[in-house]
Amino acid sequence: MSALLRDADLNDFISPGLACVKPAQPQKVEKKPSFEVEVGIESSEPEKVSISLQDCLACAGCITSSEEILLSKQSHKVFLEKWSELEELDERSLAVSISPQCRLSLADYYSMCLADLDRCFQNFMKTKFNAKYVVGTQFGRSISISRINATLKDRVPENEGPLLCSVCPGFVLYAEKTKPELIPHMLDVKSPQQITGNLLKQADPTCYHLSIMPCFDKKLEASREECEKEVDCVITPKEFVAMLGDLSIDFKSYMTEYDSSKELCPSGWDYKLHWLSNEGSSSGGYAYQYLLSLQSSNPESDIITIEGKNSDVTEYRLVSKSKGVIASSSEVYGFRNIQNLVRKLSQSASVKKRGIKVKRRGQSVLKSGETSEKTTKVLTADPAKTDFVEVMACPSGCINGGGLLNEEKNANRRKQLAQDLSLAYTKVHSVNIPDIVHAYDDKSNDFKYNLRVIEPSTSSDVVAVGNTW
Amino acid sequence: MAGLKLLKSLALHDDKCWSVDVNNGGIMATGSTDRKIKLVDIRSFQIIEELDDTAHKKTVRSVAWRPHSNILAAGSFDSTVSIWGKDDDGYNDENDLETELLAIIEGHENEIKCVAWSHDGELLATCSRDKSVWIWEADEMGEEFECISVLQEHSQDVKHVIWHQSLPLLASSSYDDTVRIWKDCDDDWECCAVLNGHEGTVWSSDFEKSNSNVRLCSGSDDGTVRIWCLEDDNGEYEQEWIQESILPKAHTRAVYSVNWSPKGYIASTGSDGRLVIYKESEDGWIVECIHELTHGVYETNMVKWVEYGSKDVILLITAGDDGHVNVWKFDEN
Repeated sequence: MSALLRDADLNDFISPGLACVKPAQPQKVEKKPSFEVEVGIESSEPEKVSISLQDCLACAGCITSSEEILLSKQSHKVFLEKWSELEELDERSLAVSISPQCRLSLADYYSMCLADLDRCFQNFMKTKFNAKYVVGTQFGRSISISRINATLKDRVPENEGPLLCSVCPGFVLYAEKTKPELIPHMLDVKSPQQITGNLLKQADPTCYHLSIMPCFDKKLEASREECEKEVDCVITPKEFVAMLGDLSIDFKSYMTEYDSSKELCPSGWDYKLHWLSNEGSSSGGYAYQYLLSLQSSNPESDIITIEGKNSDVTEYRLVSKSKGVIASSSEVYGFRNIQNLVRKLSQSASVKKRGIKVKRRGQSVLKSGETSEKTTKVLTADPAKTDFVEVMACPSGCINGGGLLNEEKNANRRKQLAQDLSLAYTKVHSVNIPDIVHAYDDKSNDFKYNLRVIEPSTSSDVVAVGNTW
Repeated sequence: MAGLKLLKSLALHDDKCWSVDVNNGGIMATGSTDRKIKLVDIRSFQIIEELDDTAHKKTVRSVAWRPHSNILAAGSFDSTVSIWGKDDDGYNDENDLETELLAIIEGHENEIKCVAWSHDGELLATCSRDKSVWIWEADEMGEEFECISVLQEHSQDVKHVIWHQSLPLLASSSYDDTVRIWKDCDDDWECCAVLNGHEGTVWSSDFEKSNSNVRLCSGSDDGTVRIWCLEDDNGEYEQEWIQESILPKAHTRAVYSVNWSPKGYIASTGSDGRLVIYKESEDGWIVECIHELTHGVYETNMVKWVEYGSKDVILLITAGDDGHVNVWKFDEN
């Protein structure tokens, strides 16, 4: 799995698992049945085995997704090929969606304000690619948030331990492949990318949907079986800029004062809404929005923010004088913080399973269930004890996604840029999760992932590279 | 001419012995492919205790005492780190309490190759075949560990980690032929230098025990030991390190272990079974002495200077594939 394990730079991707199990299982269908066994003769032509994104998704042999495979299936080159086919066939139309983090990144890259970028982007997609729809992802995100909140209201009272957000595909894959014990904790509500795709395909079932997203793992998300029909191709802002370079296009020449958001919006959509953003973190604000949704039914309650051990851990609590802590949620970003969360949720179980007795001497160590407020006045963020965790694989969250136009290699400077973009994000007009969303908030399973544990391959042909000592 | 004399050969393990460490109470811990961890009194050479060998399912590859404590960390090929300790303050009491398992740290994907405590005992670094180095913050009791950083820049198996004796600097050695230097930046650890030069796996490294110079020695599969020097630390993120010298060639095969003594000697051992001591003279580094076949025909996996005891007696400990731990007396004259 990629975002957790690699730097944002494309060249730093981990290559396909050195011990990829896929070549060990060549397809047998094309082989003629043979009743003779030849000894000592190798087949003349070794069969070429290709690995698809779906293969990567269905295999726990390694948790990497290779750059090569990602880009061979979903890239701006693939998009351009498809688009020229579409033009010739004239059967399908093009729909484009773009996430707010990508818009901010592109605006920063082209030194434009966000409103200019949006108009320029819409105009470019409309005139260059003849796009039918060009939309932001806030409509899809609002539905995603609304369904997450509804699910939490049902599940939190019955659930032991926190429920985990499944919007980050990096984290979802990591859990599916390496941490099966997390699956019962995870929500199955789809991400804004997928819900946006679903809605676009409802508006025009024949459209080709290009999604522009801040990280490469979104390509894997779109390749999931239950997601395939919603998104046809995912590219990142890095690839978008590369595509313009390939086409020798000056993006800024598409700058216009004319706002085409209304005509590029499917009918029935609020043409302003999907270009806006909601309150909360720049990764989507899922943790904050959950408490916000509960606040209305708890008069005189406040949401307090507790800073964590580092800038990638934040806890929110909904508190009132009469009821104390009513509900809590948290944001946990980056591999190290995910590790601490995962270890707290699963370690004790696995140590117990192995039958190892661990001595606990410390009198000062709090027993589980006790909260630290009873003994100390200082509030400390402890995501493992909150009701809901917004988990994002990247440090600083989606605003630091690997596909954004942030070439800075140094993590600290990257972080600074991410903070600058986060600040810009807070200036995007914020919206409340509106009532219109509820019309789409039906009981269909279209907006749900089919999360599952991916068992490690039992193939014995895997050759691990590197010696064991 | 300086010399080495074998004081004691301890047949501790039924299989390869990988790692030894001695705490300031004179207790030596050893780890082996036989999955056992043994504690030995370095004065009497008596085995004090064998730790519960059900804690690890595979080879115990690395052991390290937390400075100024009776807390031991052990890293295993079963991908976990075990933490051991006892309530009692020392090992002097005849009716000592048993050393108990305080924690099992999980997180690495596969074989752990090395564990190392920072000089103040607050941080534990671990590295693995999964190509990553993890830094853990430990509580005082050694029971609670929080991951504060996961360093993933190495492109291959990370063989060894070691902290500077006073500065917040960590060095990691890898199968990718490099040593990386890491430092604390804001609230995370960042790679501030990559030491390129070795032409094979770097098996281990060690910082000079000095507060004025910042130097590092490294031993590699290419058979060399190299000295690296911090040239420029602008206080920013990057540090400039240069390769200062290659020590006179004294090994015929891979160098597995290097250790820099408080007095400035460097010891190295490796696949050829040799124990080599180097000394820095006015004309550069010279080989002070070479001892052949330190563990018979077997490979010597680790060498360690022992600071314990009288300042006049300098001890060296080696661990070999024969399962033995050998204790050597080094005579400077």
